[in-house]
Amino acid sequence: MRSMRVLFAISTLLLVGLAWLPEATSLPRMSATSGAPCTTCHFNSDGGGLRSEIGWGTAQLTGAIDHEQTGLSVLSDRSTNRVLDWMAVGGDARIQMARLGIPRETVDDDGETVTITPDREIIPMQLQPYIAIMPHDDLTLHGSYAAGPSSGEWCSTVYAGQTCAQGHLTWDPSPRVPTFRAGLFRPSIGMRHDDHTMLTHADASRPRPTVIPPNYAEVGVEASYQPRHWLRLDAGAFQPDRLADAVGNPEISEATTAAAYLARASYFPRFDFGPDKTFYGWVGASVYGDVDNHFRADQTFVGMGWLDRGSVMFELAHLSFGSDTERRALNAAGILSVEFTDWLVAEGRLEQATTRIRDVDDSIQRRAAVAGLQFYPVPYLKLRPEYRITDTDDWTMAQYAVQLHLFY
Amino acid sequence: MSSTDEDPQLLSRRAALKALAAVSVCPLVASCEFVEIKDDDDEASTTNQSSGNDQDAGHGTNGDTGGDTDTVPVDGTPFSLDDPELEALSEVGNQACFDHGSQEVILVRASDDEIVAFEQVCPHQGLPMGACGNNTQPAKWDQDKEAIVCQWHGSTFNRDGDLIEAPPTDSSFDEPIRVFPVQFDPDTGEGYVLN
Ligand code: FES
Repeated sequence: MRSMRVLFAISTLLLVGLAWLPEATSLPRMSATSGAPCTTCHFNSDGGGLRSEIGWGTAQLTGAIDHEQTGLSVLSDRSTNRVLDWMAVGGDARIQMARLGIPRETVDDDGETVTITPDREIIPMQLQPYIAIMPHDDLTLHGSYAAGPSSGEWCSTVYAGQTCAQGHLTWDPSPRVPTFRAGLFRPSIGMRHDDHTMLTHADASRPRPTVIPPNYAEVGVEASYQPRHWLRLDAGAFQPDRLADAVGNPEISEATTAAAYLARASYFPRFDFGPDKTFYGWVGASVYGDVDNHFRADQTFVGMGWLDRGSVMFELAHLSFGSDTERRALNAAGILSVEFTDWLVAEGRLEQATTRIRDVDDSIQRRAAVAGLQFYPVPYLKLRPEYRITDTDDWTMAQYAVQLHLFY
Repeated sequence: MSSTDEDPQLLSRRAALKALAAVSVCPLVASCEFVEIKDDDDEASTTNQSSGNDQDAGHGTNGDTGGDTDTVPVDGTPFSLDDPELEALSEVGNQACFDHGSQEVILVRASDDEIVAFEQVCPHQGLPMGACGNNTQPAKWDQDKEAIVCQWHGSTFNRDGDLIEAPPTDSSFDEPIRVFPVQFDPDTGEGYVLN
């Protein structure tokens, strides 16, 4: 009976999924709905990447069908992702089906104006193994490598400012003192979403608006301090080489004194209204920029999560470009997620990006409305069907996309 | 759909309504994918500004120089370096955005005598290459290679439009860019972009 229900659920979802739309999204939903910091489930204090034993163990139990029913129980025999006492491994692989690029008009041989819609493509978009080595209880060496599966090259970066190899050392002696990270890693900017198309880090004046790309990382150090469960403070200093590429302004990294700074404060209130009515809040702000003021991102975010039910979040970002602020972007996003079960989550979001260029009257706008599902048919496999409407000053395009995400 | 003169709030309301309708209904309807290109306020009439005379003057090859620009070529759009938007072309190596009929093209001053016209949409991922509108990452002209380099992923096209370097991220890409013939008189600074 249960397997019939599962089969029905999967068929329905696959049908819905096939009809649904484009690029996939993810949210810091897990942390918001559980009230647990990212490090509960990830080695990385900012979330994402290699999963901790708890994160890995949770993933092992998340799926519409468990491994015993699929005959793959060998996969769940393990109780940890540690291959040695002092070494853990993991990885992410994603394939995406979507229309990439932007629609345009051209004139055909007969002189007629025709609209060209980007082709639907299936692209392997991520192939990223992770490793964590723990030579000592207080020390973790974390490394990852993002190969270029769509180009066939070992290292291929689609966006300016991306890195293939990342690695950092984390020193975490006790909860009473700050945790330090040093190496090549992503500064803790704003909320960390795993959809790089989110408009909060975008410049609407670019046809491909992403400014802070996926796998963005800088060489630097960062300290994170969580003196109470409800308060976290982060501060860091970085060498802004990749920021210069990402923003498209070489001046950011040219000066011998070039540096980038980060500061973030987060407050995690908890509201307990009785059994099954605990809500977790998340309010914070961050600033990230270079010391010469060629680029600066100010962000504020607020979220509320209800355990096993869902979350709602808002993020506001103000980006300024150019030492005398040639361009400013004011971006906002609202994200709602509803958990039907642990293996099926619906997400919707509305985003708006507005860029103003100095001495230009009209602002440039871009908007997106996205609705999608996160469906875990079996552990370690996620399907993310999505429908997305993107509206710019020049065109509007609606499309379906599906992402298949294998993780371990 | 005309839009540039509309209230942006209306647009976003319209987009939101569409999104709502689409999200409710689209799982069942494949046609929920759609594309709309919005009109430009200043869009030129489409192509063919022909006067119907003097076939000799038209259909020059790319980089044609020295034609009689008093004669209107067939299927050509006239330009002049006196136009403030094109004055950058007075110097070799500079580029400018130009409306050729309903299309934007990139004009590049490739040498004292020559102006080359490239389609402004990169054939790699359909992204705009030109210093048109508010594009903050316009393509760069490499004077040594006599080639234009798209700043999105690095596709490099020579003056004939052939791809001479694929994007490092997509070595399988191998498409040329469209190059429009140009007739240019360096003495008067006037010319035509031809079809
Ligand atoms: S869009 Fe021009 S190289 Fe990719």
